Amino acid sequence: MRVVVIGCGVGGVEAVRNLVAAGVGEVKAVCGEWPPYTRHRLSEILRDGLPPTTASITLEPELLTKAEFVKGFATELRLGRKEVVLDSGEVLSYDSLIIATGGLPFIPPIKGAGLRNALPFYGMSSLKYLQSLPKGLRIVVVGAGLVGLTVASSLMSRGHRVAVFEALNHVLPSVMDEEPAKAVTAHLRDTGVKVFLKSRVEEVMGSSKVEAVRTSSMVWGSDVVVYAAGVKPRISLVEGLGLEMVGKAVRITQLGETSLSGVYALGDAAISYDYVTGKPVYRPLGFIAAHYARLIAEALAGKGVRDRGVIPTIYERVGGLDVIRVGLSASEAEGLGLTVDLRCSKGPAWVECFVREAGRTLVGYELVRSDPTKRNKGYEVVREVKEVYQ
Amino acid sequence: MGRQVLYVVRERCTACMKCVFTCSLVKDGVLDPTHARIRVVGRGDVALDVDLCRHCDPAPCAEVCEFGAIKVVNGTVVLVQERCTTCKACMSVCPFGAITDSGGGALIKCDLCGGDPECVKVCPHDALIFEPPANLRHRIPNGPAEGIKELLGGR
Repeated sequence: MRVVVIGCGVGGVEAVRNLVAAGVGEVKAVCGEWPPYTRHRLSEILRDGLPPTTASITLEPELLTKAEFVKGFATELRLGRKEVVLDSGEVLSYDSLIIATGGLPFIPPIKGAGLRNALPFYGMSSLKYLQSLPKGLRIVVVGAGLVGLTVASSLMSRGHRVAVFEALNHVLPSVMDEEPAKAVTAHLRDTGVKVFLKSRVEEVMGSSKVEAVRTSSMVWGSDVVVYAAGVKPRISLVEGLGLEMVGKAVRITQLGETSLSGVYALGDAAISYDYVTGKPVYRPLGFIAAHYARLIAEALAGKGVRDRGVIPTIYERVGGLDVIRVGLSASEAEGLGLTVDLRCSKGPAWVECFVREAGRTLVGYELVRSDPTKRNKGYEVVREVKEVYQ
Repeated sequence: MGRQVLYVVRERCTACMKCVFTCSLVKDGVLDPTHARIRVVGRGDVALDVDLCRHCDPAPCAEVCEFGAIKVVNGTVVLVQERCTTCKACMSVCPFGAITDSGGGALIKCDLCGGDPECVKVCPHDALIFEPPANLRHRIPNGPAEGIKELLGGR
């Protein structure tokens, strides 16, 4: 069997690794950037002053000999002929195709968004740009998700003056419920990061480069604007080819196959499934891409595979805080149609929340702590959810 | 030799830090607690405690790792650096804070030094014991005290 993987991010490389391990014929991967790297390390690299190469994904010698990594970009899919056309003109034929094209940063469609010194924090080029800045600049971060807060903390520790603008009413809106999120906001403010909630940036102001941002209530001076407003699927390659979509993401089965037989998708380009509810969700996270990489390889190897979905397991360091979420937040659970009970408690250096469905099954856990000796009970969610829903 | 279990006798720990510095030196060639796989911490119920991997069975970290980077080898939970992308899913479920970020772009955890833990060898107070369970009573003549913590449990 000939398998072509389009994309060499975490999901693409994991797909290749699993396909090779499963002995699935001839495997080729199309890599737009080389060497492959993982994006979620970029904030840490910025914070710790590490070389960008520390984001590289290790490719074992065996992988490099058993699979072929083709440098270039896929420009056209000929699904009827089972061919991928590259920008070099090379044509790759396949029996099965894996779309691992990843995502693109969402840039708010506002006036001035494209000014010089305004950029998304997404790939290697943005890391190198931010690493190159002299200290003491005024930097605005648009969006208070995990990427926004980690990059804000990193920029703060590099000696900049940082302000975060979040349109919703608390930070980490897709990760945490309000109470633990308040602890994160308080910590950031203690460390000198300005955090503005319910503050949507409506314009990036300046003549040739960034000078300020404007919200409905203020103008905030700025030398650099960093967009961290989320990720959208990178799906231009498959648009108009008849693949079923969920919103802007490629719809896949629970084993990773798209609506076209023999064409699979994973990672930030595709939906995934929530373990608790079994519902399709869009969670652009590397370990979820890796989950489907394994499933797809096993399916192509002819193994009988069943899968219910993924339990989110998130850990991030924001300033001096551990931010942990396992399973569902109450707000995400409610969005997926569950009736849940959220109970939070606080200590001097932590906030901990338990999310229970119908007052019984533990479906989510959130912990924000500055004290590492506070016990993390995240695993209780994994154990309980698997017992109840498997 | 049968299976060996790592015990911490918390009451004997004086926070001399020999285990911590030896670990960081042996594993990463530096004298830096952030590079150690073992930590001495203050905790509410006891004056001092020692945190390191308990090599759980089943191991939550191995269960959630989608990259196959955490393996159980002969009862020891081992992190395979080459497979780790530092997604930190393992850290989100470890109850003991036993997997840490060394700050150099890599996660670290105890691997029992391949079955001969250096921390045990250097502890001057017998606060760390790596023995088959049957030998424990000889090492602690007055019998296991309440402050004892079994780290390699259930194997």
